[in-house]
Amino acid sequence: MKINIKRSLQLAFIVIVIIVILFPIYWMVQSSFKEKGEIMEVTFYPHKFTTSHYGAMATGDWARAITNSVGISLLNTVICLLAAFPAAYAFTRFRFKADTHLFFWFIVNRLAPPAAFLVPFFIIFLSTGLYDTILAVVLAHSLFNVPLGIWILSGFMSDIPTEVDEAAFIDGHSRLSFFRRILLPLMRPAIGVTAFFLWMFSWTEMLLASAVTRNIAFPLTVQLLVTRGSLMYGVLWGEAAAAGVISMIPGIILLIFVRRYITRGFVLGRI
Amino acid sequence: MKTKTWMFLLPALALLAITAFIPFIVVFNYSFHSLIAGKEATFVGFNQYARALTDPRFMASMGRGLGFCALILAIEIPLGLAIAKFIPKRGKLAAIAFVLISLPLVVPWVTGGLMWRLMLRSGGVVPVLLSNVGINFSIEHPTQLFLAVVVVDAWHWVPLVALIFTAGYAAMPKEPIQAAKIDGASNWRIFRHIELHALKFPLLMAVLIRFMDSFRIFDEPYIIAGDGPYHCVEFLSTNVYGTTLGAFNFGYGAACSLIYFFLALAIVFVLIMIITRGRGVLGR
Repeated sequence: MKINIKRSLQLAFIVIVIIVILFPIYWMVQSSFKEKGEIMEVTFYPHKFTTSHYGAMATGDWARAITNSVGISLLNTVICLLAAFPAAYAFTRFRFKADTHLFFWFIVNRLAPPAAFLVPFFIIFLSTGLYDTILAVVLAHSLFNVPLGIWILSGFMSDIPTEVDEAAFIDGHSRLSFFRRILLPLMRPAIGVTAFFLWMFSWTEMLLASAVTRNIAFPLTVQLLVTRGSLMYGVLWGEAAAAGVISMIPGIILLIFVRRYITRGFVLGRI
Repeated sequence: MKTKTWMFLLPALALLAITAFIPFIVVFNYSFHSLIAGKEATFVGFNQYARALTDPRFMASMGRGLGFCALILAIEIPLGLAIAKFIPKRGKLAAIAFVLISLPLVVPWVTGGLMWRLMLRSGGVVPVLLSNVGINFSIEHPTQLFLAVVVVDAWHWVPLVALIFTAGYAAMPKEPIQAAKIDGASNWRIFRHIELHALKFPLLMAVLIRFMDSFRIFDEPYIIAGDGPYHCVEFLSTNVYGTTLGAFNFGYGAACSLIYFFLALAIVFVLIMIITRGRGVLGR
C-alpha cells in the first residue's frame, strides 16, 4: 500500500503539471472564439461565440504568413538535415584531431546574440538579393538549427556500433550503398526526432525572421508581432489567438508522430 | 584532417560560414568603430568596450540576465527531470500526457507572450484569481514582473527539458537498476548513483540549451512588458535591441553583443567541463 501512495502522489504531480501547462493554452483557444470586447474580460468560456477571427486567417496577410511559415520551416528542416547528417557521421565515425573543438564551436553558434546579427544579416541578404525571401529566413535559421541537428543526430548515431559499418563494407557495400540500404533505415527514428526539433525552432522563431523579411516572406511569428500595438485595444487579440491555435496544429501532428521514437529508447545515450 | 572528413563536414560548414562566420566578422569589425547609421565610421579601438563596461544600465542588464539564467536552470532542470521520471510511460495515458505536456513547445513564442500578457495584465485572469486567494499581483511591480517572466519561461521550456530527459530515461539500461534493487539499494541511492550517471549527456544538452536560450531570451519579456518598470526585465537581447539598435548606434551595439557573447562562451565552457568532468562534449 505504501507503493500505491507514492505512485498516486507522482501521478498527482503530473496532473497538476498538465493543468498548469494547459491553462494558457485553454485561455488562447477560448479567446479565439470570443468577440473582441469580451476577450478583455475574465470569462472562462465565450459568452458570445464567434468564428470571425478564423475567417480572418484565410485572407490577406494572415494567409500569406501561414503559407510562408510552412514553407520556411519545411525547407529549413530539410536543408539542415541534409547538412547535419554527413557532419554527424563524420563526428561519430572519424576520429580527427580537432573533433571535440569543432563540435564545441558548432554548438556555441547558438550563443550568437540575435540582436547583434540583425544588421549583418540585413546587409548580407540585401546585397545578394535574397532579402525578403523565404530562403533568407531558411538560411538565417540554419545558424542555430544546423548545430542542433548535428548534436541530436550524433547522439543517435553514436549508438549504432561501428561494427555495423565494417560488416557492411566487408559484404561489399560501397559507402553510398551502405548509407542508403543500412544506415538510413536504422536512423529513421533519429531523423524523425531531429526533424521535429528543427521544425519547432524554425516555426517559432521571430527575431531573425523579422530582420530579413518585410512585405513578402514574413512568417506567422512576424505577422503576430505587427499586431502588437502599444494600446491594449489596438492589438488584434482575437486574430492573434486564432493564429496561435492554428499554429499549434502542425506541431501537434508532429508530436504524435514522433512520440514513439522519443520514448522507444534510442538516443542521447552518449552525446 | 583527411579530405574525406572535410567533405562530410562541408555542407554544415558552408551554411555556417554564411550565417555565422561572416556576420561575426562584421560585428567584430563594427565593435572597434564608432558607427552610427548615416554617419562615417571612425576607428575608436576599445572605446566602445570601455563605454559598455562602465555603463550602469549595461552592467545591470548583464547581472540581471545572469541571475535570470541561474533561476531558470535551478527551476527548469529539476522540474523537467521530475516530469520525465514520473510521467506514465506505457498505456493510453502515456501518449496523452506526453502530447499535452509538450504543447507549449509548438506555440510560437510571440503567441505565448501575447497570451500571457493578456492573462497577466491588470484586470486579467491571473491577478483576478490571485486576489481571490489574497495575493496582490500587479504587472507594474518590478520584482513580481521579473518572477512572472520566470514563470512564463518555465511554462514554455520545462517541457523541452522533460522531453530530453524522457529520451534519456528510455535509453537507460535497466539491468544495473534491477541488480541494485536485488542488492537492496534504496530508491534514492539508485537515483543518485545510477540514474543521474546515465543521464549525464541528456543533462548536458538540457543545461546548455536552456542556458544559451535563456541568456538570449527576447520575445516573451519584450511582448509582456517591453523592458519593464525600471528596466526590471531588461536582459541581453532587449538591452542591445533598445539602447543600441533603437538609436542606430551599431558600433556600440556590436561591442555590447560581443561582451555578452564572450561571457556566455566562458560560462558554457565551464558548464561543459563540470558536467563531463573534463572530457568535453564528445565524451572522449
